[in-house]
Amino acid sequence: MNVRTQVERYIAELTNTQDIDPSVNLFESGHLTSLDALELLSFIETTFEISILGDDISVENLGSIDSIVRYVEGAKQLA
Amino acid sequence: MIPVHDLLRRSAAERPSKEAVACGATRLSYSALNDGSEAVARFLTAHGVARGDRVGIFTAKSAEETIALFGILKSGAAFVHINPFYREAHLRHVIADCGLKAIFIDDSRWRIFAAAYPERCPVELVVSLSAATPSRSLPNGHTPETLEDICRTFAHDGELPTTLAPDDVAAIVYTSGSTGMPKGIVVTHQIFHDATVHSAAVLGNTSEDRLISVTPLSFDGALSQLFTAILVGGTLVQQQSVLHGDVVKALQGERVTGVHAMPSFWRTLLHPRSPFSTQSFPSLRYVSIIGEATPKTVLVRLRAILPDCHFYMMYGTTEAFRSTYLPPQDLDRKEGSAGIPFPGVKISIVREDGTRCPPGEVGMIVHQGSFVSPGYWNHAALTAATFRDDGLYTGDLGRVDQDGYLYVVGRDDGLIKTMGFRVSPEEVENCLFEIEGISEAVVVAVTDPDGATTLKAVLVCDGESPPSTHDVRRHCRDRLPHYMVPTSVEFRAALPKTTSNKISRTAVH
Repeated sequence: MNVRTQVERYIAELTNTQDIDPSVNLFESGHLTSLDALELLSFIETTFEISILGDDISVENLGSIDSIVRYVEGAKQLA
Repeated sequence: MIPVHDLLRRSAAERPSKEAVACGATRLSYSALNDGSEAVARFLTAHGVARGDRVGIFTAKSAEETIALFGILKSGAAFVHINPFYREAHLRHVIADCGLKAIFIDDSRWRIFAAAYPERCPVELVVSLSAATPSRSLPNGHTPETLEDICRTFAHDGELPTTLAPDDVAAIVYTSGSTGMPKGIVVTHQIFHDATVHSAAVLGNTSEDRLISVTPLSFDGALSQLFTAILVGGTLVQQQSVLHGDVVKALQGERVTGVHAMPSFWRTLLHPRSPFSTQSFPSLRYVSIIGEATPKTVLVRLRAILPDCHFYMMYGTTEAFRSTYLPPQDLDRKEGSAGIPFPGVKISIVREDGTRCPPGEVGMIVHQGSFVSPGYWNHAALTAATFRDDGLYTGDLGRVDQDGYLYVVGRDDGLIKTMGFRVSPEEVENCLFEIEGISEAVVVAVTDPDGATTLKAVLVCDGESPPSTHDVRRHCRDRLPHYMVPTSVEFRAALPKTTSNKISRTAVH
């Protein structure tokens, strides 16, 4: 399963919503709250075996399905 | 008394090009905020909105919402900033309860608004705070007006003359209610003015200040910061993301001088993953903490990271806006105290029989004097019970020491404070009862050694296929604001009952 499919499935499960626009800001739109951020972090770290630094915990990296996919793919390349 | 929208007019005349509101890449000068809100006021008036009407705002944090908010005030109407964490049922309740004549919505909240009214929307006038979005249409097929168009069409027509009395309703602020749905607290122009002026005096705010706002404007603390920034001609930094990395970046990049937040915000920033503790924040002049008692462990760590910062502990309820503050110099001498009353406020501690408690004895905190709301919207009985001749009965328990310093010890009416929000357990229980297979439900507070309070649902199930913890949390998540969703769920065979066969909340742990 590729990164995008895994992220999409996880977000659909976490938010109980199908077909979320992958570019939409999940926090601003109320799909996720700051409380979900920590769950999201541990999902990304365990699923993709990368570690996320504090400075990277931002909407730019984790705010939408698109940005999560971009961040994970970037981090995996560096690893 | 100068209404807060006239404070904006004054600051805009004094410093038109100064940055009033910053939100991400969007920067609003005082003249843009002032002119935009004049246009909104004229637009609303042209559409029949008049003194005493209610106009809603439902949006993620933005610069544009401040234009709408001041525009509503300038039209003589009252604003109702609807908690952006609300789902469909709460949204419908608020809109019906206060009878909104118009509403401002941004794109991020359109999904919930549309789902709340699949057929007919009861609000006549809908304005989009986002740029023109032709895909958005109302159930009646109309495309909503946009703020951008309004600012263009109604620009440069001068000030809209309005007649206002100090006791006119300026806003209705909704908080968790024991009836199972949020209840509205009426705030007048006089209260906004007095609370803003006194709070700015206590905090020593000046036009140099850049205040960061991390909570939605549906909460009184966020409104207080907005109006304080406008009063002194400073800048309000509207912070959308509360993820650690973003907050740290904003505190530094925006050169924030003052933060007003609840202990839960600081607890999040102090999380082991957060970069906050390894950074320095030379611009930060003060931190004010409100909403619940700040655990000593949190305060000690914060003071180590922010050694030059002044720390103000504050106490207040939305019903009385601001009650007490602890001056920074008393932080060690009066550890754990919420401080002394604001000017014009008197705090008494009262026993159940109505007599006064002497220093040291715990009783109900009663607030007299300035900042007291005229009451709850559409709740005459509850208003009479809470807003009495001798003051506002806050529902909070506390004591004062020999020097008159207040110590808040808890709640008397069963409301739970979690993450700084007041939550009625009944409101959560009503939601739990909707789940098939649950026969009894009670929601209690659980406090960890760090002082963080979370909600626990204790449930009794009948039937063959009881719901899982996951099902229960999912159900609540879909219907309640996030801070009302129980963190833990426990299933039991039975719940303790009182002699009248009611569930005994106090016996459930």
